[in-house]
Amino acid sequence: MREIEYKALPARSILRQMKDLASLMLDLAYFAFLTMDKTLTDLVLKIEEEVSTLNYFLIMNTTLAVRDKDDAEAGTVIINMGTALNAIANAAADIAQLTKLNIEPHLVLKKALEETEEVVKSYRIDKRSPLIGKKIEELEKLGFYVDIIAIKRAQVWILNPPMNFKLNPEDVIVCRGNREALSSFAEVCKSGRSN
Amino acid sequence: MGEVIKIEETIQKMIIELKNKVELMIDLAYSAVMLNDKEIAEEVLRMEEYIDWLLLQYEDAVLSLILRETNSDKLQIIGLLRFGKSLEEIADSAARIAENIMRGLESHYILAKVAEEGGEFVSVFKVEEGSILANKTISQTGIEKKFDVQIIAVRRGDQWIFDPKDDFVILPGDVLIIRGFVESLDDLRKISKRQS
Repeated sequence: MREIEYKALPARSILRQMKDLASLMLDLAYFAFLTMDKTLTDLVLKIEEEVSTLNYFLIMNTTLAVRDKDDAEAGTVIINMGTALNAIANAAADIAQLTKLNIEPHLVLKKALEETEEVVKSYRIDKRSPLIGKKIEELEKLGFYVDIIAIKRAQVWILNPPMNFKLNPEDVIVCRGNREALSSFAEVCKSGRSN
Repeated sequence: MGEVIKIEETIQKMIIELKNKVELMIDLAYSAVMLNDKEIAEEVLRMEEYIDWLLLQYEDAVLSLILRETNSDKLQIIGLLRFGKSLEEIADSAARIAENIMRGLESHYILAKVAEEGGEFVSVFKVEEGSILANKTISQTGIEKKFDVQIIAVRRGDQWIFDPKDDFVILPGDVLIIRGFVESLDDLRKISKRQS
């Protein structure tokens, strides 16, 4: 476990990060469970640790900012919120942890998660794919409305890759989007027939 | 056999509902605090109460499944139960966030500029009788384009419609759940109050 020392960070940016990470964890957790991917579970657990670390920073920075009774009320909201976001991260991690217990997803769960408006899928970039060398920001111009939430390159997971991130052959892309958008994206990851 | 299929379909629908609502609740709870908005907070608390009820129905259905399909994989059943419970815990946490706002606590003394710093939020808009949004399809209102917002769900009484289509007709009394930037949501608030 990482040791923690005070670091000056604005509470609002910590909260935004905690919330974004918790939502991201939930997406990844569903997908880790569906695919029984234990390396993805490890990534979810790493993010959980990150959220918990951020919560310490949030409490330290908030308590330091309290000067009067209005601040104290505001500080209470912020600390309550951090605690709740931390609990959300824990619950998401619990879903991913099911893979470690060797609990396979029941067929109804698989079907249900296939049917939601937005689904999470992963694709490997084929060496013939026209996406090779393209930056993530170029995908939208090419007509692919998918949200890339993580990429695995050479066994290392990269979370929320930056917009100028270039795709390489053999990258594994985890993305979120509606079903139709994802299926045309799947094609182009393979051979690029839809180009 | 037909009965098992029916139970499975019920469970499947409940999972989709749990997932959609719980994800939305996180966004709503976060927005309720950041925008200091009681209406959003109330919506979260209302949803949390419903999720408690839904989880019970879900657990009941999962157990009915194993009673009828006695060769079900026990671990998979445990997986279903834990999955539901984890989502309910998330809903509870979202409600705990929203509760701060219902108790009149305000965060802006410390967070101050959060809303000004940009970033997207999710807000709720009740469509009053005679509102210029009422009795129009989503595309007829033109609000998604004009304000660069997205209607992600509509609550009509106890019924929820997620990701409504462009030809969805908005009725008086509907509660629109809209995602967008703060300024857009504020501008939209002004015109949604306007009577036609």
